[in-house]
Amino acid sequence: MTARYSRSQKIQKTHFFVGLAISLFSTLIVAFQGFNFWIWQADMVSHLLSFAGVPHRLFIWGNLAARGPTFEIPINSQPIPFTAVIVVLVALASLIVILNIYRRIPSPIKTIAFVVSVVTIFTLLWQTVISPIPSYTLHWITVDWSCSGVVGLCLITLIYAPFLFTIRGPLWVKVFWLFITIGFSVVWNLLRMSLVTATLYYFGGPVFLILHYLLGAFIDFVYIVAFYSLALSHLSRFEVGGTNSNA
Amino acid sequence: MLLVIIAIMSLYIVRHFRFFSNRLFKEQRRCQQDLAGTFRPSVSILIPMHKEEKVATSILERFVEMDYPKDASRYEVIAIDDGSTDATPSIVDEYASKFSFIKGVHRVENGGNGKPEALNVGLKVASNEIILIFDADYLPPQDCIERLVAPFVDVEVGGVMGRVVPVNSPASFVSRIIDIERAGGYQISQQARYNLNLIPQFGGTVGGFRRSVLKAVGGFDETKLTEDTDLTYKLYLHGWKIAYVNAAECYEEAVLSWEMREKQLTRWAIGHDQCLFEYFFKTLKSPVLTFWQKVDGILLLGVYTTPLLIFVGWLIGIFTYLTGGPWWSSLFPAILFVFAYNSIGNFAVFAEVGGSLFLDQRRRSIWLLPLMFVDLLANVWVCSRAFFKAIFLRNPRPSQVETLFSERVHTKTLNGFGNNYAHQWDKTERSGNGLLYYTAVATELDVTNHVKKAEIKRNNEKRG
Repeated sequence: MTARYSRSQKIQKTHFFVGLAISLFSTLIVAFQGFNFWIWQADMVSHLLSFAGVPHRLFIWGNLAARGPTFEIPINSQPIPFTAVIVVLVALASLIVILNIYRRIPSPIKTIAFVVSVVTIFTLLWQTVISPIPSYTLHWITVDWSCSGVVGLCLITLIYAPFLFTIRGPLWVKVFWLFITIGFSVVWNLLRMSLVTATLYYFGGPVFLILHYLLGAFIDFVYIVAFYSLALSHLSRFEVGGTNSNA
Repeated sequence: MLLVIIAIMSLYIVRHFRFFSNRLFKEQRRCQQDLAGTFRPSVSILIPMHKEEKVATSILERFVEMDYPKDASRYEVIAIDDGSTDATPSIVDEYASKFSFIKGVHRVENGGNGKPEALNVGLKVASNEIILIFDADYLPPQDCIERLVAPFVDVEVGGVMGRVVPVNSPASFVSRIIDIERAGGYQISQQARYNLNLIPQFGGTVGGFRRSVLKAVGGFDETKLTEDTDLTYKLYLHGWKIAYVNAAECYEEAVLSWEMREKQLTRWAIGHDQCLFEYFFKTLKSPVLTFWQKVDGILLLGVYTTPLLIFVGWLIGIFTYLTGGPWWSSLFPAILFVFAYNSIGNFAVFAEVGGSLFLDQRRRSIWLLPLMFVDLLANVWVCSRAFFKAIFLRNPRPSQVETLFSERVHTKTLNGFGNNYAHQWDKTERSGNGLLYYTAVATELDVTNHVKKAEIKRNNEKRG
């Protein structure tokens, strides 16, 4: 290895520790200020819900056994007619069969259609057979660990430390894209929470459950990849020759 | 069940991290490339062809232009026309009549039984020590053979693999995605496995073997849909190594539609799963392999089953989400772990591909990274189905070792449950547009070389 390459490695190692320090710092902030962050988020979501015409009450300090700010929303309590459930189930089952047989449907669409079908079938069966829509007219949504996206903030810094901060390039570019990603994450989580809550009001429980699952666990990390790719692309501008691409 | 899936997937995550860090931050092995152009053993190049009229001329032309001594004792190109009914036989004959180092093999009566069988026939005709294999839609640059044979100077190396680069990337959305996926697979994964002395894989084309080694392991297994993976494991279990040469780039024509992609991926996944069933315990018990080679070997065997695990994980996740998880699932560490697994776990593959594009200095291609999610969705569907097809695939196991170097009539079939995988060619359709893109790339490379040469000349003049 040349001396220049070794020097570059030392610099990137330093950048890695800077990234790790930022990660640790953000985790500490989340640990000590998490509740205040939820309150702020809930307040923002409340504004967005008002804008979307969704009637709601916000309990800043939580309600009953809730562990964070809680929204109380009136929902359409009419149970889904049994015949409609059967028709939808048959339609979805037929769709799954078609997906298996028809080759010209692009395979990514097959996967999405299959997952959405299964989620819908599970949800409908669950709500119809096991846990029917309750007769009460109010529903609770609490801004807590699992839905506020606060954990994501720590994880973004944790991902960027080894995968971005170690890559050759100026530190300011890395820090810049880290904060851009965090900023987007905050906005995305506000929009996501508002969207799923409004869905609950306008479309009822089943659609809410499906959307909540798909937007959460299913594609939550895609925006991180998008910003990571922009950051990498930006860093590659500073890479003049010097790569060991053809080992 | 979910915890088992998470545990297995976590192993893959660690593997991706390891490869990423090794490739980007550690010293790289160059695989005797300093000897490229100096060490020139005798080479036989096998090109199996089945209805390849759109691409036959371009690949044969590439081998005519190849930088390698063209005397018949050192260099022979064997074009195996395996039961083609189009213009392929006449193209092969035309080149064979023009150039003494090109041999045409026509399989008329027993032909059309698939690539492994065609390769075994080619082996019988080949007379040189190093056997290299190229698919008909590939476009090797002039230094490709020199680079590929250089690692054979090491007596422990039994096989070699070069880098596959899709040349028609801009042709469609699918080819663009395949292009960046390939970059991750070769630039990072294969190179890191070679650096770490793990198991670089022979990919069925742009690579080769010592003839003696091929003979010792029984040639190409005609019952496997991926005879390349099968050979990789046979070689390692017999104590040989496979060298990966990142600098030996060869251009390919990537498929253009999801339908063709599904067909291609299904074949690879079924073949890989066949090897998983056969080599899982053999790899674990092997006295030849090191501990880390065994770990990597097992993970490599299972690489096409991971989309199924992801799929099952999603379905269990849905069920848990609806029914509510156990009491501990609402605790902060549990939530943190699930989030970490979901984001970092999924992210690892993307980082690997991103890293490879960074190394290749493909700034605009890096922007396509999020689209890999579409590819992940495709893999989930195709590989999950392929796994079940592979389970129900009956394997007739012909007595191949005995018959490898003798004539025979092939009547065997591989019957699958619900699907008949006839013992025949299952290749993807060629568009034939690769040459257009290759010409553009070659021109660009040529221009770049001229610019670089001029720059070096100027610098030398300045230095006086």
